[in-house]
Amino acid sequence: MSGIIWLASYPKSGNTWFRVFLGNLLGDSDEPASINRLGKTRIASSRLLFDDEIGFEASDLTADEIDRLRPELYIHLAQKVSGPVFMKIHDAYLYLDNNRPLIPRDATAGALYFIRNPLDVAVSFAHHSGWDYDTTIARMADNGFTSCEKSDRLHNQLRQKLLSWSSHVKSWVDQTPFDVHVVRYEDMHKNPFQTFAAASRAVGLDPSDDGILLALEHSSFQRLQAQEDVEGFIEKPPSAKKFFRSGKIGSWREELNDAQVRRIVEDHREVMQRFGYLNVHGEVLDE
Amino acid sequence: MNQAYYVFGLKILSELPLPAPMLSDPAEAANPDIVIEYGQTPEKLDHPQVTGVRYQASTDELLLCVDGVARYWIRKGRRILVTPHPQSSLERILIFLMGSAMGALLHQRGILVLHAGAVAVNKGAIAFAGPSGIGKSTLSAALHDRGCLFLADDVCAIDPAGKKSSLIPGFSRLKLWADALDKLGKNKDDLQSVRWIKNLEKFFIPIQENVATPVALQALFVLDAVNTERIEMWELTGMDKINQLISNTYRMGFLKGLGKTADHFRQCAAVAANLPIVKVSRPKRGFQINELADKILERVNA
Repeated sequence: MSGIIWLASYPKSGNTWFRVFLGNLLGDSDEPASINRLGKTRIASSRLLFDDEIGFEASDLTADEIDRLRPELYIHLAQKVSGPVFMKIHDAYLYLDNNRPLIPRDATAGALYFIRNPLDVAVSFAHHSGWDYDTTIARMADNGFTSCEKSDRLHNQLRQKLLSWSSHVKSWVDQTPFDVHVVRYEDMHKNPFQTFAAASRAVGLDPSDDGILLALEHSSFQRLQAQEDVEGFIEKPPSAKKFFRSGKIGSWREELNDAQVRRIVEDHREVMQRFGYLNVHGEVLDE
Repeated sequence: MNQAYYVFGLKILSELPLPAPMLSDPAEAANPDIVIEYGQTPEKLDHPQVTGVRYQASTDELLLCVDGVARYWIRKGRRILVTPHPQSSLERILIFLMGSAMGALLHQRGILVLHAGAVAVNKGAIAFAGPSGIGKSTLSAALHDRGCLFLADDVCAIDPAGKKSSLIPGFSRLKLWADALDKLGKNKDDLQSVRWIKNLEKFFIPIQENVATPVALQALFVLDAVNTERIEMWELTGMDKINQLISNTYRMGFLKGLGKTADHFRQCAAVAANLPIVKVSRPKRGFQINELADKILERVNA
């Protein structure tokens, strides 16, 4: 089936890890794929992609004008490719002023949604962006949160509306006109084989067990860190010391104070309970 | 009332007033290379070779549709017909006319068009290519502040003929974002906005000079932003040079539609043979545009 397979997530939720896995799985090489050659999975908000395919430049348009063209861009790309193509996306699943979705069903061949405990997202996102924890937690609760939105400069990506962490999750899990397979970051760690295999099958891939095992070995967190140490990572923002920083589950326990934990739990209680991060009493579950 | 202009080394007779040097002698305007007029354009082409989201291209024609602005029909490298949207303005129509539409026309004429900016230094022209947002226009403005003559922004026409490639000057218009103005110590209150709309803080930098004749090209700088601390430059060789010219070609999709990719490759190879191409990597964050402008001048004047 041809079309775009969306790798959707809030930032710092395992999306890049999965892209490295895919690069290894589809590259089918004995050597680990370079983290700096993940070009096959482009990001939906790429300015370059937009300018190349539309015929004129996004830099002469407002962010809303750009958004109105984006659904057509994805339909165009889906028709242009011969097989399925993977595309990373951090935008929330949104409907535009004209009630068209930003990501149309016609462009879509499948979708994975990566979700991670927001307590850990807060720690990772803060390090990634160079923000303190309180700022990060406030942004994760802000339904107006967008990235690349400043109108006085040219960002290298198009504007992306992320909404709050909870709204982002619900937008992709509940509001899409197509099926979305949810992948928990914690499961990627605890049961890698089953989790990666199920995600691969959900988007129509049919890899062998050996293929999955080798791709997993080549995309282990330690390997990614080692690669970043040696050659750097082009996708690392300048604000971050490292992109592949810790990758751990539960580092919020050492990093966040009680008030910060309480605030995240209050902000995102419903979605955290729904995805197994809180019990019915609102207590954080062990991983 | 049509007026004759001289841009990209071409005589242009245009119904739309262009920000370009005018030809005052009526005899000169008699045989224009290009005619730009308002008129009826098709909604689509009959047999497009390549279809983009908002353009279609075939061997002789290209149709560009900009929502709420205009449709542009560019034919045989000689004519551009413009159908304005009723709610559009001349300023909006000109932005895309001078960008994509003119770029398509130059491609049709077999001129090598790079997505680059260019200025003239003592020894000739220098051009800078690189992805949108890398700082090409800001660098042009910084060099212009240092006394370099402005030659081109975005649509950069190159004539590969002769022993040395030359830069054919384009429209003398330079657009800068508000944050770039800040870095250059300019005040946006003194400048004309590209579009009087909220959420797009982009301004025209006034350019007084109009260079009409081609200028020998001294070097092409290809800009890139990486996770490093300092600005580094190194000269490329061999196939890397050709690849940079190809990947920095203006709207490659247009060229594919025109069926001119083989000619284009030959042109890139010809230019690569006689033009130094310098890769410039600058820090992603905290880089100083003035430092970059000085380093580039230092290198070309050495």
